[in-house]
Amino acid sequence: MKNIFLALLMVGTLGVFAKTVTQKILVKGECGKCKDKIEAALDIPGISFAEWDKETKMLTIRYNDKKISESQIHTTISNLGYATSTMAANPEAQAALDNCCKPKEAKACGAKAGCCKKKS
Amino acid sequence: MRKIIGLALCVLVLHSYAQHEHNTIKGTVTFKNGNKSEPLAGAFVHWAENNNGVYSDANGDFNIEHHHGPAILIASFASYTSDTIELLNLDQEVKFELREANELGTAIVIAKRITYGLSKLDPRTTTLLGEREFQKAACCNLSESFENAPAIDVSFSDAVTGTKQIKMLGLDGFYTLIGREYMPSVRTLNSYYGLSHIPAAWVNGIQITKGAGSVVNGYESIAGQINIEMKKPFGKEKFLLDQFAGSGGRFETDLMYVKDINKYVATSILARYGTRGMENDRNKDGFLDMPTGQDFKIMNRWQFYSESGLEGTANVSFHDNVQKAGQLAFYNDDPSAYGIGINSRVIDAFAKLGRARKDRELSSFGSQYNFNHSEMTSVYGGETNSKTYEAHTDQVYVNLLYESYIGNSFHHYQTGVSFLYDNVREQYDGFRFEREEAVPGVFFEYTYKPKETFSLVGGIRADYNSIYGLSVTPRLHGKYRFNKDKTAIRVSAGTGRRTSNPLAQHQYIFASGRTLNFEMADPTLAYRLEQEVAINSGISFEHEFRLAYMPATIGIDYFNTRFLQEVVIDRETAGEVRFYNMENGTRANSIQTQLDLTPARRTEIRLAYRMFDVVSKYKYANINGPQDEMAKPFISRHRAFINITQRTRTDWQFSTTATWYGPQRIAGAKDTTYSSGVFLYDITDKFSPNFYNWNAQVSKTFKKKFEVYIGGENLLNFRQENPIQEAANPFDQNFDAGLVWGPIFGRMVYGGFRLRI
Repeated sequence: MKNIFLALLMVGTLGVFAKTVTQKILVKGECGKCKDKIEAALDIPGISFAEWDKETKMLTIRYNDKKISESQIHTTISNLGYATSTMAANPEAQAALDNCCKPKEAKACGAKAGCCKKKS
Repeated sequence: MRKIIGLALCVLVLHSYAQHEHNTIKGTVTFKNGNKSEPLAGAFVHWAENNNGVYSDANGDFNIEHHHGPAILIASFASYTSDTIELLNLDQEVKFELREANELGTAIVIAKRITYGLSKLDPRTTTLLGEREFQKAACCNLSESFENAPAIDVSFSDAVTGTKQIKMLGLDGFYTLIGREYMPSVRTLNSYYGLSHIPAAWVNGIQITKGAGSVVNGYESIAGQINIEMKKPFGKEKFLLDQFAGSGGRFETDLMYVKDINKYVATSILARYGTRGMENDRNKDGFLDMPTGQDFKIMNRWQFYSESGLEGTANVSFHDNVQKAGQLAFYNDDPSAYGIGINSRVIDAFAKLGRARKDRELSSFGSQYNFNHSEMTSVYGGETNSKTYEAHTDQVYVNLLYESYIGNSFHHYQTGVSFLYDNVREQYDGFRFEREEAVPGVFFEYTYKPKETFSLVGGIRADYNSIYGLSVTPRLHGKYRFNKDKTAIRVSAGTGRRTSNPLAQHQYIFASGRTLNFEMADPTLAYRLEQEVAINSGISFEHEFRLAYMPATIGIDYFNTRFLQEVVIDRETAGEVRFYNMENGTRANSIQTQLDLTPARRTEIRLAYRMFDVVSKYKYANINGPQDEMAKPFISRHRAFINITQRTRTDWQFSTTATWYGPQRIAGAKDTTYSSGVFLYDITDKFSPNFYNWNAQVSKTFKKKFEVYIGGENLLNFRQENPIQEAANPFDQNFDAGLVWGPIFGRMVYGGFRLRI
């Protein structure tokens, strides 16, 4: 009985920890809103965990490399408007971002109130 | 709306000090009053993808459980436009500012500060159980809803009615003050079946507080406090239909319908009908494993507010429950067979009324009122040879409170007067007890909160009991968060007291052949027994960290309860049950550790282990002397727990819980090993074996509104062998259905659906 229980527990646990790659990727986002966008865009099949740290700008990502490749991840982020360590941001997507999420504008306005309004 | 989100975002950036509470997101809801922002109490805050939410408290503050779906929070309040905020990360404080929907002409400023003196952000060791959390358990009523809360043990207490009881810190459920919207509930006659009479579908959230509670809610909490928030008319959910079917012929239907009369008044009707029809005897002991019966409950709620700042709620409910259990032959009308019939009825009304002071901020009056009449008739035995328990209770509770501050908001206080009246009339087997107890009291609670990370609460109350005289109840709580808010320490200490209801709270003794014996302390006291008095103290620690890449939280707590005066139930002698007072009786130590991990998006793993060291004194155990210390019966010293919950992008949810219970001492077993100072559980027939319980559930939600679920409980099909002692001779004095340590039913499968609009 105990063995059945343990076996079932193992199966459950293996399901959770499917064959995956854990990796850190530099993503040049700016603010908390960027974090939200980046993480939401990476909520796709093949990726089990994605968390971006605003302070270090590092994205911790776990994915199944049979379902999605590292370059596809970079492309996804680029198409969202953000640059990564190996890929520039898609310029159109970047232009469409809120001001607070764009590298130059965010730097210029700092933490001033109003910078987070939709681009003027 | 995007502007609002943008603005909120900046506010968040500016207030970038994180206010992180274990497993919860903190925030405030305010409204514009002229140029000033003022806290908005009673606003409903919930996740966009479902209706699981909380209400903001008197300071506009709220705490909502983490959630791994789209991080979008919505705050709403009648007559105000809802506000939506996308959370940037789960560590930040969320600030909502609601605007009045009525934009015609000058805004009507309404002071909206429901207070009732209830600060939810208190420094106590509190766990919030949202609806999604307790719906991982099979069904249908609150006694069954704590399977996923490691702080609470759920076990069967007798083998004929199949009633589940809770235990906290190793102490029976009646040592925990159970509040329904912060009013003492599930007391006296209802302390045995009461939790099973609260439909889980009607409940919005549960707060579990370990250790001493707030003096504002009375003096009765000893092990802890559970507060149950029911769904309110001004909540998000306007219609609910919940249908459950389980093996053993169990069906339960819950219905809720809300009607907004106008922008100031809303009402709701909640109804439940449940039936258990099938006669089942899977363990072949001649007794039904599960009682048959019917359960009907209906409740009407009203919630209102006015522009003068007055607001409140008024509620009335009626409950009728019929249960039949016993030998199979009893169902075939064999007059010599042993049967049980339990009929109970409850009429309950409660109301709250509060008013904010317009001339002084953060100040308000609140009041709570409750009337409860409960009655029960139960018959145990055969046609010519039966014992009847008959009880009627009336309860009146009034609590009037005022809250404000001294100097500045660092020094907050709540003070007030309360009145509790209990009239309990019971008859059983030649015993007749009547007790009329009136308890006026005064209380004062002071909160010192110089900054967000530190708070200290000191409370004291004095009560004059018409039977027991004057008592003073002090309580103290402190909280300190540090290490960038990643670590928190809480301490608490306090006393609690209660009048024991030996018959009503131990109804399993009726289903036994034991002879009842009350030892007289003083004939003028209730049951001739002194009140129970205990001291509880505890410390808890929690820390957030990363385990490899995974966000993780670890919590450790230790609580100690010492009874200065106790009413002992002594089943150590065969054929007898005795009640007597014991000074310096039970000592309970509890250590619990819990680890929460998020290994993948929408996947949560919770591991918990707890140890109880609960030692009681018994006069008649006769091992080493007249007052022997032994492990309290039917408590697993060790318990370990794992829960894994996984949700998918497509709204499937898989949840599985496995619990391991260590051995328990069976009442009557001589625990000769303890007196040498150590427990050495030898697994004889007098100690229960250890066992596993495994539950699993799968659910799928369609369009956020319609949820279908199936699940199984006790999937390993583990059962206590012979849960009824002397089942073949139910009229023998050794017959006992109350010696239960494990599951009585085997595997149970169930399914159902919920429609929420």
